[in-house]
Amino acid sequence: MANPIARAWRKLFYHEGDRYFLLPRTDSALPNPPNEGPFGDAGPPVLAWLNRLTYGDRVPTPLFYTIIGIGLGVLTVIEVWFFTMRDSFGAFFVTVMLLLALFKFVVVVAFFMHLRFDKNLLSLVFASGFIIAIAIFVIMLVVQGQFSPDKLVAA
Amino acid sequence: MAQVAVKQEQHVHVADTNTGISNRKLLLWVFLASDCLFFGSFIATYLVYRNQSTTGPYPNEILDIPITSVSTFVLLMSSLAMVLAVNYAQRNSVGLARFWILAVAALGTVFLLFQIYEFTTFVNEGLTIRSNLFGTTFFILTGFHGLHVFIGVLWLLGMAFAHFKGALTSRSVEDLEMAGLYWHFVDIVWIIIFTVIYLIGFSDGEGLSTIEHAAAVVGG
Repeated sequence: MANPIARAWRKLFYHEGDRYFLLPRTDSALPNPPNEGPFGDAGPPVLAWLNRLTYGDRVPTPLFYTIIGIGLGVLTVIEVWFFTMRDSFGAFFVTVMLLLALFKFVVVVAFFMHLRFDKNLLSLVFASGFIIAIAIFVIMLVVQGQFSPDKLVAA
Repeated sequence: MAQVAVKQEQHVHVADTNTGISNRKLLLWVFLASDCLFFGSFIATYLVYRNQSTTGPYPNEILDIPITSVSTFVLLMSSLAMVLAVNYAQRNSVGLARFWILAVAALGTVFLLFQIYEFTTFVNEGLTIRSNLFGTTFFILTGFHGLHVFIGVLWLLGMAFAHFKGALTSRSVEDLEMAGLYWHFVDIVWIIIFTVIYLIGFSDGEGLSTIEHAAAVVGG
């Protein structure tokens, strides 16, 4: 059985196979019937309704992006709320803030920047730059003697 | 037949290259990857020198989280407006695409005004690029980000007034998509800056007087 995290990753962000929004590249890849969405007629009616709202004319609808945008706004409000409660969380506060920022980062890159729908090569190009940036980041902290939990987490 | 007609009306296509990706779009992604290194280095520098200032003002004395939260929200909503502009352009709705492009430019300008207000306030309160290590790393990082936003606003205004006069072509939609990629990148950089410098870094120097802080830094 595949690792559930790997499965969730493939389902959400992978570029081939059974993903939510597969932009048709050829006429033969066009949905049949058109715009039926990823679940077809299966599942509860609410899924068909959601498909109609978020997927049409071969691309995600403006409503789909609006839902994601509102979600990102809500996450920002949650971040600021966490900030006001930072004394209650201690070192846990830094972890939560970084995870929230990382989640927002991934959502913007995957959906707003279309890496979720584009070819793998573009993801690899961007990921290579990002990974090298993280490497530079870690090397600088190590060289400068800052890479210790006390220094990173210190309030 | 009907499907072919739909395909002609839409502007989602495969480029005639070996990769199936347009060369211009691939080049822009390479640029964005290199810009990751640019901002990654500045953020790392900020963290290396974090809590190392021997004189004030310190972050907790000067950062205004409510104001910056509003400007962060503005930039986030500009990203939403940008993706809507690209989406409507792909749907061949020139008017709506142009409206959302102008909305992005307006929101970007509001963000820049927030940044100008913040910088002016900081300078008036004694924090300049030469005041201390916090001032140096802060102004360099957020200043370069602001420069990116400014370039993005000019790019979008140029597109709105010069590019979208007539009917949309695949080329013009791709131009808009590339401007959108750049704009979203500026947004994700700010997501990191807001979290690392403002929300996490706010506590730097908290609870210490200037003399106590200097002694703590010198003492190790």
